[in-house]
Amino acid sequence: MNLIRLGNINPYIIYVLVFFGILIPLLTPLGFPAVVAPMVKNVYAAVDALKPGDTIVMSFDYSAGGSAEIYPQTRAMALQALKKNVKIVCIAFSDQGVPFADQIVDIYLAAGKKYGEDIVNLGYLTGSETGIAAFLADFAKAVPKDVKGKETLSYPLIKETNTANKVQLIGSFGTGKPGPLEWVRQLAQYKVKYAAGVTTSMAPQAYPYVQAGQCVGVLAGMVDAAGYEAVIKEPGPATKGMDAQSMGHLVVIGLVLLGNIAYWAEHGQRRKGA
Amino acid sequence: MKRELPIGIAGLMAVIMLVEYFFKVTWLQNFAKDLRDWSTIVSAFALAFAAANLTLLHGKNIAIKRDGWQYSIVMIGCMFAFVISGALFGRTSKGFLFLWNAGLVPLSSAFYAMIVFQIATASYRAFRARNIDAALLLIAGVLVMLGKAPVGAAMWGGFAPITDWIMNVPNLAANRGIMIGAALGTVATGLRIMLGLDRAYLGRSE
Amino acid sequence: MTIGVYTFLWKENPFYRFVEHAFIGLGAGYALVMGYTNIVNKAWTPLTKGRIEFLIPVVLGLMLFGRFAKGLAWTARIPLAFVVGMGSAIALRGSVQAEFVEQIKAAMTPINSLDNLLILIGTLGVLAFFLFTVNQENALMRSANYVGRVTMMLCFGAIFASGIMLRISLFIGILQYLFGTWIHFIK
Repeated sequence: MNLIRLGNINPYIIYVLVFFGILIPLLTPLGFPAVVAPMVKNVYAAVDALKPGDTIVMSFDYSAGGSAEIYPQTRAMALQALKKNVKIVCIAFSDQGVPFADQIVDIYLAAGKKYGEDIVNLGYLTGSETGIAAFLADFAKAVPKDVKGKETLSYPLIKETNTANKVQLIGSFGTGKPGPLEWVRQLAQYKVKYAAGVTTSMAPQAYPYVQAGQCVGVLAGMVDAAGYEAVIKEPGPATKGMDAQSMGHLVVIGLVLLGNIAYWAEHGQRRKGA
Repeated sequence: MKRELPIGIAGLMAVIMLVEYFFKVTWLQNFAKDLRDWSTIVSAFALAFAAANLTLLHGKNIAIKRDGWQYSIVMIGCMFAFVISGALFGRTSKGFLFLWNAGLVPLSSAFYAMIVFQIATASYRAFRARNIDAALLLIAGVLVMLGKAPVGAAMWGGFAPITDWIMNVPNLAANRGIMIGAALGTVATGLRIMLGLDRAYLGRSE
Repeated sequence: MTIGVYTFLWKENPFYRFVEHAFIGLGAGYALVMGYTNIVNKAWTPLTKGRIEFLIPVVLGLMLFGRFAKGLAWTARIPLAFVVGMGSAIALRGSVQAEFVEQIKAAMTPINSLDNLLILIGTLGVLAFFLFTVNQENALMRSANYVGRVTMMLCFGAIFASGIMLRISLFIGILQYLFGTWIHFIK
């Protein structure tokens, strides 16, 4: 068999391999259990350490394009917070994050919680890192009205916890800017725990913050969302995608290996010929 | 004056933000809070400016019937559909939610996700272990992919600990080194803006 | 519309261009609605309640539109300078503590394990790799360079793998939408 030909596969064949490699496990699940990474356990432990009545700020800094990876993370954190009777203040520093915050509010309301007392959605705040700085100093001043158009300070939850020093955990979920870098920079002057949910590609850059103690843990994309869903025993969209994720990885690894086999076969032949 | 005034304003704002951070003076901190809030309002106007700029640009395309002007009509039409439904009927109206759920979310996801095909093809064509460095990159990449996916854990229990080691040791060390360097860059850029040496944001001189 | 995006894989075509322009328009329209809400809530409402100090950010914001008038284009620099000056200082002050001091402190963990030693050596190697103003020809710098390069290659391998994982996850999301929400093949 001419191994060199393995290096010339038609790109359309690769597209078909990738497409079916990811689709088939979605249609016929294989049942691989999710991997629970140590970072997931860190984030879980941070939320688990909260007491009933504590408050989390969840920041929805992601765009619709990244929602497949990030929304399952926010859903898992919200479900765990709900079980712990923890309150949530939702804010978004990405304009497209607001409807996803609405979905988290819906989860809380469906469980019988009260808007304004147990959860509130403050909507979108412009300004990226400047907006974060303004928000952390004074929630109500930075966001005078919530998504419903009501005065923020009229809500008991905001009256109790109007600044970063009065919340127990901040979770930011983003697909770009602002991300863990901006949050860690602005949280340097506050004594509050911080957890980050990011896309898989951003996760490697956030590890130094965890080791330095500036961040309790980083959730990396859909894979860690599935791990989080496994830990809280609430399987969701991330868990359903894990078989497809596995097969996708195997397809890409297979293609890379094929390409390398062809390369080294060609290299060997050139050396023989030389 | 047309350049000196903006440079002075940038420097003044930077100095206020720095002094307020390091010296706990109540009136200054309250003033700085106001300035930060004003900055977020100006950023909101920037979004409106971006939309206006886009409308003007594509409006010109339509007016002079530049190549592809029909697509400019589509772009402006979709933009104003969202604006009208949101501004007149509210964020929770049926029209707004339809445009969000059936338009923006699937399109945004589709564009981001489309790159999977290009990345697979690029990995196949270009990701070759030509030398030691490339081989290290390839091996680390393959190990991380196997360690993160459930199939890797099913194949061999050792992939996950190896992935954790790669992420927590070499990845951490490299990103820390890059981060410290980037921090120096951030400080240098901030000082340059404060001192008026960096004027890129001013655009072309008149 | 989603399928229209993927027609690009065959070749660029009018349907793809239609969908591409629709996406840009929808994104811009949505951002404008959210920006408008911010302006109304944060500036317009306080102004109508007598808080005249909010005229300052409103005027600054309107000055951005000076770009469109030939003689007034320079006025757009003022709000830009306001935002850039503030943003750079806010980043700077946080950066020194969070990215510099804390990261250096964290790098100086007790060398009580092989991993901690490797992290320290790797960090120093990467820093040495980017020292362009120092003579790189001596043995120490060459070794440090090599260590830095090896560390970065392992790191970039992890980043590359993460990039692939991201795209696969996003594509899973699209397939779940098409074959789950839309056609109901996926339960």
